[in-house]
Amino acid sequence: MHRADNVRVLVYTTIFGALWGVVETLLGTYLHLFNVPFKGAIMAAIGAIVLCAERLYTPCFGATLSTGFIAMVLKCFSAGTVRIWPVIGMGVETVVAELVFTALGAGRIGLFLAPVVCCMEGVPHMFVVQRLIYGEGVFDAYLKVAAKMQAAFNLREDLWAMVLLVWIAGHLAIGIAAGVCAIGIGAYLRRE
Amino acid sequence: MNKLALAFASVCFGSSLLAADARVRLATGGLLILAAAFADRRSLTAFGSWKLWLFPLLFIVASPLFLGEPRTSLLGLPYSPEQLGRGALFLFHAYCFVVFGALVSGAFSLREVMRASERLGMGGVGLRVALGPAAAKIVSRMVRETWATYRMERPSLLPAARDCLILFGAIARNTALIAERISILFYLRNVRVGAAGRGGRGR
Repeated sequence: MHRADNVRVLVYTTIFGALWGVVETLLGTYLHLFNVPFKGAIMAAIGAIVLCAERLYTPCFGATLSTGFIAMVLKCFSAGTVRIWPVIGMGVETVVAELVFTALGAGRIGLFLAPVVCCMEGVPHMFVVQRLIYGEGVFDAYLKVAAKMQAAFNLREDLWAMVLLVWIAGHLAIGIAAGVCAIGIGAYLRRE
Repeated sequence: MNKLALAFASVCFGSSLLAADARVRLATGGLLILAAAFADRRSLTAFGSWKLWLFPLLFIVASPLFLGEPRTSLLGLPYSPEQLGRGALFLFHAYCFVVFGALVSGAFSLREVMRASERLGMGGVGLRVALGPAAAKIVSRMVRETWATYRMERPSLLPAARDCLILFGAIARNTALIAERISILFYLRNVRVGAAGRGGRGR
């Protein structure tokens, strides 16, 4: 790669990584303040859109990883010490987006699929985090509590499954909206 | 010492995660707390967000009243001591998790992360890490200005939400403009990037 290209890749990935870090801080604060539902999926969608925009400028392997790395560093060390747990989700999103772009490129399909997959990552992420925090048997306990509450309030037996499905569908809907948005931004940036 | 304690705590946390037996989980959790007390005492007081504790506390207080076999009574209400034990174990595991997180956080510095990244072949990490926070201030100002201009033209919420593509596109384009200017500056000033330059200035 030519030196100018090296400089360009380094700077673009760093600046877009900084953009993701800034948006995480600015928007994340408001979403947490107003306790907006699906805030994790919304943040993932916006992060994925930033990754998509960056990939359009530097379409080479590793560019998305580098962008995510800078955003993670900014998030990680923003309070002076390493905050390891919040950045794990960002790391997974970055890897997933890089895989999508490497496999499909930064065309319409790649731009659509990367945000969808990044948002859907929130679903297994929640289960893994719950298991990590509370340990063995936490899901059994959830199911028992749900069954008892459903019986107490005379609700449908499979209500918990429906709530879970709505939650997953919410993630999917946000991901699809972000994917459509990423395609639109891609078209706009190419025109520009 | 810190790294050794971290390795030991990792093994303890892993065992605690995988073990099905409550006594093993208690023992490995206790060892983890002991390792944290030796390596970094501050990690024992890192309790994290209050939301993390809301679920186990509610679980401990409420679940024994309507789950499990109610063999004892508390203030006239029948409750299950086994369920209380399970809830307490969730609480203990959550505390171990927070302590482990604080221990991991305290074991690494930005300098170490940079060194590790360079060793893994990620060139120019030092330059990236130096440029990132500096650029974040410029990018933050740009995002605020773009948002203010966007809202000035669309004061009501509905048009602002409808045209969000324009906002996202403008932010991406302005970010690219900042990146382009810095790239040209780096190129003209012969700033070396990649593994050969190790992120330093060229001669």
